[in-house]
Amino acid sequence: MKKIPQSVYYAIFTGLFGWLLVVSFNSSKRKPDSVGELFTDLSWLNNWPKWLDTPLMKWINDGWKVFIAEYGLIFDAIGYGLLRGYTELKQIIVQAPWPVVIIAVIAITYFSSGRKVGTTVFVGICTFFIGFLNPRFWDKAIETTTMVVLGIAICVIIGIPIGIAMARNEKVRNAILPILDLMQVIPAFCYLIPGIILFGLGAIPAIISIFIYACPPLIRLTDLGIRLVDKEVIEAAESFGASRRQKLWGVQMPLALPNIMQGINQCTMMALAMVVIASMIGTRGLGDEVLLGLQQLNVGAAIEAGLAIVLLAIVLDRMTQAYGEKIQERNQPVKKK
Amino acid sequence: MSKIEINNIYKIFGPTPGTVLENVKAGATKEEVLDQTGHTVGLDNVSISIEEGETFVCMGLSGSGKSTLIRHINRLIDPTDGEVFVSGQNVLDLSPEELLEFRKKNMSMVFQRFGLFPHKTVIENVAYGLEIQQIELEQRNKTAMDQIDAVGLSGFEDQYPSQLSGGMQQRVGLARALATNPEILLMDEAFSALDPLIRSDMQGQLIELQSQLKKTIVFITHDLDESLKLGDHIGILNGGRLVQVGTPEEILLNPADDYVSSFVGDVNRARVLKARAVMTKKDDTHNGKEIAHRANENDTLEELLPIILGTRSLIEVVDNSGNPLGYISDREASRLLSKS
Amino acid sequence: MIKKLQTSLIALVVSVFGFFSVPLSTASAADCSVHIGDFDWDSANIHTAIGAYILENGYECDVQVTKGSTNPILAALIDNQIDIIFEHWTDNNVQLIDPELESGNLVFLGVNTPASEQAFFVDRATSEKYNITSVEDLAKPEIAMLFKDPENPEKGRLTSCISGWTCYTINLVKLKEYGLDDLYTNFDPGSGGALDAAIMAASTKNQPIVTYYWTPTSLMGKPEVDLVRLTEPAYDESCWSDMMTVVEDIKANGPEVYKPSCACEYKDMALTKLATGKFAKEQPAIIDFANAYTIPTAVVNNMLAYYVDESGGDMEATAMHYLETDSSWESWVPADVAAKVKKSL
Repeated sequence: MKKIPQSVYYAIFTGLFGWLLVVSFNSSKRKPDSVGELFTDLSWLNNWPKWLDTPLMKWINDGWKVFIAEYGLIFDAIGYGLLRGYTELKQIIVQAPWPVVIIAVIAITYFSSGRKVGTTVFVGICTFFIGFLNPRFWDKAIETTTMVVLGIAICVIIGIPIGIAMARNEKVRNAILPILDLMQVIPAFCYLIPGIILFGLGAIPAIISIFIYACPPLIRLTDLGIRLVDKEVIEAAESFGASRRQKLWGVQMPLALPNIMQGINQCTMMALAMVVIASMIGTRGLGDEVLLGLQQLNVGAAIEAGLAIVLLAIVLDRMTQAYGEKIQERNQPVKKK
Repeated sequence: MSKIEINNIYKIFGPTPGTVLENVKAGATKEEVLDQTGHTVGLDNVSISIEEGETFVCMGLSGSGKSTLIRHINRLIDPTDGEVFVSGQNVLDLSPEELLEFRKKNMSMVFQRFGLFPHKTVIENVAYGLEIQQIELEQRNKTAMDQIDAVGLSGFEDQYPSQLSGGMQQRVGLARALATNPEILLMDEAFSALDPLIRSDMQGQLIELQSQLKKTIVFITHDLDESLKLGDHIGILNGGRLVQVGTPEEILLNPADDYVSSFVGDVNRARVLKARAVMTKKDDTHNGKEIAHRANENDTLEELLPIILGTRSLIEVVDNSGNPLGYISDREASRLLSKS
Repeated sequence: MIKKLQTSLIALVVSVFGFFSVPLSTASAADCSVHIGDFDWDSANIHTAIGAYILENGYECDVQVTKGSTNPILAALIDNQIDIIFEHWTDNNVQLIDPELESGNLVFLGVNTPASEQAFFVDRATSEKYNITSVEDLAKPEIAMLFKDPENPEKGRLTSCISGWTCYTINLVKLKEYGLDDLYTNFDPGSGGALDAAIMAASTKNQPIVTYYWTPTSLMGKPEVDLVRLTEPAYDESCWSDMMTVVEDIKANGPEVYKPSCACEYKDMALTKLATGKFAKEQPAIIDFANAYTIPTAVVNNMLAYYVDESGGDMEATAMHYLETDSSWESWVPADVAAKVKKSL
């Protein structure tokens, strides 16, 4: 390959810059009176040339209209399925007597943490305190948890396979990474409001938003977890003739599991944050209480609801964390003396 | 045909190895290639043949390409150019499925940092190769237990690797490699991570196992003492090129270049040189001389020195069946022990 | 006295920081200069843009626009730093403005948009098909089921005002008073944007919707959105104040304290224009124009929709679009001014 001399690039860029200046001058509303003013008063550079504007907004709006018309039904179906899951799960837990729910939470924590009494008692107390703060919060917390759980379920079902694909294939990773960046950086309202048009107001767009907002860390940590598995261990599996599938499920996934659990834990926390934001699109639950408090300038109510969210976060965090630690301990048991 | 034949292997690391291959074939050095193209030459025209039942040690400093070389044998790495034959089969012709079968049946590997599965117990680790071959749990546990016994780890089978010491972990690695009863054992710096006492112990254990099992072993190390102790043949790699292949004695007595000489300079020759290599071939001049001692051809010079120096007379070297092969006198001993 | 101090303080802040002062004209020697106050919602922006365009190109004035929230802008107007505002929600600021009108510091310039509405709306297709024209028509279970709430399928969903806003509680009381409480959920959409999106979604997908909404808004001007206002009992001052007592009680103490009272429609508010007395004396010609200025609600809705969807968010282009496509403005100004404006388009 022959190199183009540096000077040619400089000439092209200088020409381009000069041309832009001329264009800017031509499209400026205010023309300087004299040549001297051209340099002392730079306001002729203030107006961005009108025609230098990508009609991106129009493209997106037009595309969006076509998209809804063509594929709206698919989203209705997804929304309907999720809604069924959401309402039924919610009904079951809401109708259960509250002591039963607390006992269930305690039991799940006890076994998932590998029978750690301290964690279990702590989680039990936090659960109790949610209702203790304000009886109204109990059902709201259940609604919130149901949405978080469904959101995480979608993240796990979709996110982990994507993470695996990324870890196994460099090209897939290069294609997916910018999408993940986009998902993490784009402001939540950019998809919350369109979510309403696709899925209606309420819980479903919230669950979808949870996926967009909370899934990237899970995907990243799955990818990272698999790639961080000791290369020699992988070679060992390969040297015995393990197929890609045997390698994945027998070695990579079990060893990546602590990282994946960390991802699920992060996913949970972010999902909770999103459920609060999603109260702006008519999602019920604890976030709604915070929003209501703030809109009425009732700081006390907002903070009370905020505390309930913190308690719920602690409960969910400890439950997922404890399970991750249990796996971690099995993989790297402490050396016996 | 030899058990393992490696013919004119080139391995170049980088984005477009194919474009650099011609340069390397034309004789460009590793440094030149790296400078001009940003590619790293891993192996440069390496050919080796390894006979069935022998221990071939591949030696070199880090970066010499020895770990790359061993991974060509089970095709964990594909060469840029060249051929690899194992038991007459061209490994590079295998389809992905055939390759998996080939690895299951023919060989297993032992790793420098053991490569044990931290989430599996000792017995699960040892049985891994059998698990991959989809052998019944009961059967594979039985085979695995036998191997655990053989390496002296009975009672530890339900521990996790991280609960064991380094030496014990590597014995698990060895047991795991042997559990599938492979014809070929690839050992990648298998003992390098162990401390010296345990390393020497493991070397002894390997020699003992090998005397019974007669596997074809390819052993990678950067330690010359280890290669001299274990190897029937030794190949020395430098910068991706094979600089010398030979028996320990040949390497010691006739180093091919300065690189090899600098390696062998510090070796305690008496401990390495065997009677067979030191002796003067049997001929008529020896007839009628007094024989002070009869030594096996595999005895080291170190064992014979006290006798030679003590008696100042001839030692007769015999093979395993007792046939005389040659003689050692103090003249030969002093000539070989002094650095050439 | 304190109030006065407060307003002048705010006015001081306005003058020091100047907000978003945008010099629009470069005519160095104009015979007049006008400082227009503008607000942070889009219907006000439209009137300001049209007014500014006519003043600039028709009357050849030096126009300056300052944009801000209601209170600082009104304070600046009272302080005579701003000359004129083209949209004023009269009913919201009666206590602040009335004394100023009496004293002559400000002058009233009449209505700019005849009516702003707040009401319950149903999409036209459903309204016609099931003959739903008033809130009473909603009070049937089979009608409620047309608007089924997906998260609470036994009830219909009345997409309501944002909870925490007074209108949410007003709607709650209205539902109870109209006997719709058992049939509909008073559904909080969470935010204004979400409410708009919900209406937009129902309209594009041709799904039935019953919702609280208001005009003038860009959403109402969109071609897809076609809502029918439901009639309620006519506005009655004593009924309204009875209802508001209950509403305030509920806002303070929760929905349990509801007592049956009364309910009626929202009062339609007129949007007006204001100028300072000083400016009125100095520029009678402009005051004549401002007095004549009025645009029907539907036209404002359409322009807002044009602004949002087609202008690319350019208010000046929207104003020019109005001036090009509608001719009613020509009656507000003398023929020579109209000619100058037309020439500049």
